[in-house]
Amino acid sequence: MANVSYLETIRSLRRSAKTIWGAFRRSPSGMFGLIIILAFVIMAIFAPVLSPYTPQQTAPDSIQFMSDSGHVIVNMNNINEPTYLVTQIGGRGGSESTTGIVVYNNTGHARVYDLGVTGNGSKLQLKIKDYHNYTIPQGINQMYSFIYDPTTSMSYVGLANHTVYILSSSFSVTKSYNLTFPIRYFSGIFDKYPFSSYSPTMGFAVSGMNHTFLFIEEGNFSALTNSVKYYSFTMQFNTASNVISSPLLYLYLSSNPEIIIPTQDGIMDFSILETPSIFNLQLSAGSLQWSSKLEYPNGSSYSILPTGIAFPDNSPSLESNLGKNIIMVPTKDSYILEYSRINGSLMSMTKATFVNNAVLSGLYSGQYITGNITMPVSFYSNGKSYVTFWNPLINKLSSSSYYATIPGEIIGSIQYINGANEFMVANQNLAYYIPVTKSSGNVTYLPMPSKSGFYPLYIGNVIQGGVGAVIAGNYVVTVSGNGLFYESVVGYKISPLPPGNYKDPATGQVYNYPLGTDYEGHSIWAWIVYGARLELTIGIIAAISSVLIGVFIGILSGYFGGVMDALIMRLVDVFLSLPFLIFVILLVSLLGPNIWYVVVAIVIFSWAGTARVVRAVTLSLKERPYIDASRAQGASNGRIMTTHILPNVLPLTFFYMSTGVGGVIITEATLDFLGFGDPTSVTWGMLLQFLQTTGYTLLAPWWLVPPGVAIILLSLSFYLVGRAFDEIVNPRLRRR
Amino acid sequence: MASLGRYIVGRAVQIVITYIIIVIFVYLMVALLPTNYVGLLAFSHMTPAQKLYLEKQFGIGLPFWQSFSIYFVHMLTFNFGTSFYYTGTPVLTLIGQALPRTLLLLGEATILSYLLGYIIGTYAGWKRGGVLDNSAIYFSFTFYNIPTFWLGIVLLYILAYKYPIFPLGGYISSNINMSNPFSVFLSLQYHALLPMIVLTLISLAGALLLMRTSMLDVQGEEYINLATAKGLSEREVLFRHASRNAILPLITSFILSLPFIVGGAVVTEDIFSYQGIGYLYISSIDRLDMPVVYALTFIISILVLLFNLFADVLYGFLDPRVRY
Repeated sequence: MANVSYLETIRSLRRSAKTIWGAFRRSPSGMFGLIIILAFVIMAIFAPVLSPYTPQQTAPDSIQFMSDSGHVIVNMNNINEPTYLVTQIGGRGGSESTTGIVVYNNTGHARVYDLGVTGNGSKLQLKIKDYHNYTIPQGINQMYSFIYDPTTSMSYVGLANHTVYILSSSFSVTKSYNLTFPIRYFSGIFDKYPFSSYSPTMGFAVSGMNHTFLFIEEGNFSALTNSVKYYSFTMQFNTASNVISSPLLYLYLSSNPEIIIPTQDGIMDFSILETPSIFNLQLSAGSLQWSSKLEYPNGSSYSILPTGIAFPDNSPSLESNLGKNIIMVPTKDSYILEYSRINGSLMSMTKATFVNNAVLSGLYSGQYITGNITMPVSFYSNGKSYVTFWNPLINKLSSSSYYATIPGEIIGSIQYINGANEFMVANQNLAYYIPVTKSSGNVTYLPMPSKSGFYPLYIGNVIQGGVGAVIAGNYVVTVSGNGLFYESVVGYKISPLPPGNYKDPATGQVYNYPLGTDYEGHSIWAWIVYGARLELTIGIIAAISSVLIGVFIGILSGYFGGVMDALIMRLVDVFLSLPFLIFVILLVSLLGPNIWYVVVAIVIFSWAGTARVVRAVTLSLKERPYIDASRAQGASNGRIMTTHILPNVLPLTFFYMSTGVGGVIITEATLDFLGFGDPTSVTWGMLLQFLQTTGYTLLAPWWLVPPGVAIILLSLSFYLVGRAFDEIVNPRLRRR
Repeated sequence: MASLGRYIVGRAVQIVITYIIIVIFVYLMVALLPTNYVGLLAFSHMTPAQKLYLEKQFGIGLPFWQSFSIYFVHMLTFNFGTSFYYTGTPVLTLIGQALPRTLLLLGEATILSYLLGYIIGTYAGWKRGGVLDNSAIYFSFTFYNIPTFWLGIVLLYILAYKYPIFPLGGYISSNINMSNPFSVFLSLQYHALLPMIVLTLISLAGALLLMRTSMLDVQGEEYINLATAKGLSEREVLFRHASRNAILPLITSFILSLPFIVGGAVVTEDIFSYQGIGYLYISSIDRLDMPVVYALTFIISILVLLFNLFADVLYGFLDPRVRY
């Protein structure tokens, strides 16, 4: 029996491979296709080298979001005094005329920049329309504004060294009080919504040395006149020792008003007497309710941090239980103590620990946010400050793994931005936003899970009192030198980004996106380069599988003939007459969105074409004399099929395999685009689908074009290679 | 030589058998898949009323023999029920509205692409190696490998957005006086133009290559030499002799492409929001409007088979060697 040794087979294969390659090399389109395919293969393998970003990484928010910002030079009569800043939120009733930025200095000048806020939702714009100059009393070092003043007689309170001024909206003095002590601390304005009868409506306190001056106004609704009448009262509290940080005001309807003053000897709680009289409620200083020494339970004394004592919740809303029944005291030994406001007893003492042995550097009044009391807390170590949140309900950090790193020390206090669920904190140079919740890890800037988007502030030097004004809850204003900087808190997303280099204004790092980004900030180039992996993989696997199945069935059917042949051909006819895309979509939507189900669906509906062709070839080959010869020699059916028919069939199927890859790639992309693909797969089709679902189809050509071009190139190259190969192997198409 | 009549009957019987197999096949596809998937994807979102309807109409959810018999009978008698999304509208009505639009679009696209393929392919093959030939080949190769949806979007961007010549979508303008058939027709055509361009470009690639190759084959024949020697003008030789003989594979291909008119424009219709059969199919799957989905699968299949039958008959008429 003539037996061809394996060595001979291999040698003959090598020879035919050489001739085939020689002929292939001479085909320009074939070589072109091959080069492109190799280029994509290299792209797929060396993806991490070619693209510094993975498809999952997004551009930082400071690049993706843009906010409205501006800079105005403030030149107040050429006086080289540092300018200060005041808040002016929304005005009374929101009318535009009372909305503005107030800039003042301590030589008696104030200027109000009128603001208009235009736009809506995600695209707010601040417009400075005009400004007006005003004269204010000289020597004012701090100015604060009232929000809920029902009259125009009280808009601002200005503090000079020894004087308290109550100013109207045009900065004329309506009341002034000369004090016997230098003003050192200010309690922050307690500003409750008016029309709550028989209760203090607003108040503030200033302290210095061992005195505290308290100003309260209350509103009294008179049924007689059907209006509210306002009365103001002042009182002074003298303590045995000096006041060491800002007092806290407790002025609520449900119980007697109190003021809590921290002094060297201890924390002191004074009541405020409400004496009803014929026409209104009289307020006067009451007596000491309790006093608590600055001592730990073991008797050793402690020092309160300069940031002072705080209520857990600063908003006017939560009166007692959650927000105002506890006084939080941070110590220089990194303890956080809780005292009861009611009787001054020490309720708990917790050591506040943090990573890197950072020490507690501040505890700031918090907010009631979605079911939790959230107090910003800061730690300092090695030139860095760490800001995170403390939950006084559980006496622990809200999350041990969530914190922001601020270089340097924190200036001023940490402010809550209403409506944004964020706090704002500043160091010497920058202001930072710290969102209240996050996903994971230690990050400095975090995206908020909302549509409008926020991003870290960068508005130049921040001086004097830490972060500046928050205007209408949406803008932040600070002053530096002669400049007024304003920036919107709410940014709007400018992704998808066109191709280019982008510098992160906060960190200075440059991000390079040669093809731009998509809506989430993923680099398009990264998607192209990493996507090549999956495209090549599924293309080759699907094409080869479907052809091999077709070959197998075709040879079986053609060789054995008879009933099996008829049945199989019937099946092939059925499959061939099914509209391909319709059924692939049906199968994928039934199986589920998984990339391999897509491959299976494509293979199931693709093998029939090859099967028919292979069967035809088998039929003709079957009649060749050498088949008879082998059969006469006793070769089994299997042997004949594998050693005689298969090698002659395979070269003709290379064309189908190669062009099939292109078809699979295009079909997969089409399925993705229609929404039936695997959303987790990194393929070019998914990129295009994402383009369509985010609605940027007609707006971002740098996102639209590259995936399409990649698909065309890869599919075209496989087609050309297949065609060139086919010209060589198949005698039909040769040039004559 | 078999007679045409016997051939037609034979093919018709095959069609019926194939259709029955398709019905069984789709049923198995839906029924044999793991129920948790089916439950997950389609049926978990349905109201009990809808599930009951599906049970009654298509036998989904019932034990096997019951289910299959209901399903089988309904499919064969085209009893598809009413749509979930367009509550109350019989599915056949929806299909009846959508089908003519698809036929208009794809019919025109196929005819146009083969016509152009014939003309350009003739010249390309005749002047082989020339500018037209080479550019025709590059064009064909590239457009053969373009994803249809991408081409559609790019053309939308250029021709309907940046330089708004064409409408952005739909199958008819909303401000048309419906009683004037001429303006209705004009509006239909206007909206069908851009999708038609997309489809034409893609199939033109295939048709062009085919015609060109066929022309190359024919050029070597002797009767071409005779015609040139006779003194006929180049145009006469080209069109009267050469291409007439070269056109046969093209006609075959054209006939074979007819069945795909029905389901072939799923993607294009989706992009242009052209409310034809393909668009109806995709949106029904998205909306989980199962009666329409089932109905469409079968309508499309049977239309494909019918077109196949038509194609075979036509071919058998043209080329007697095929009839067995």
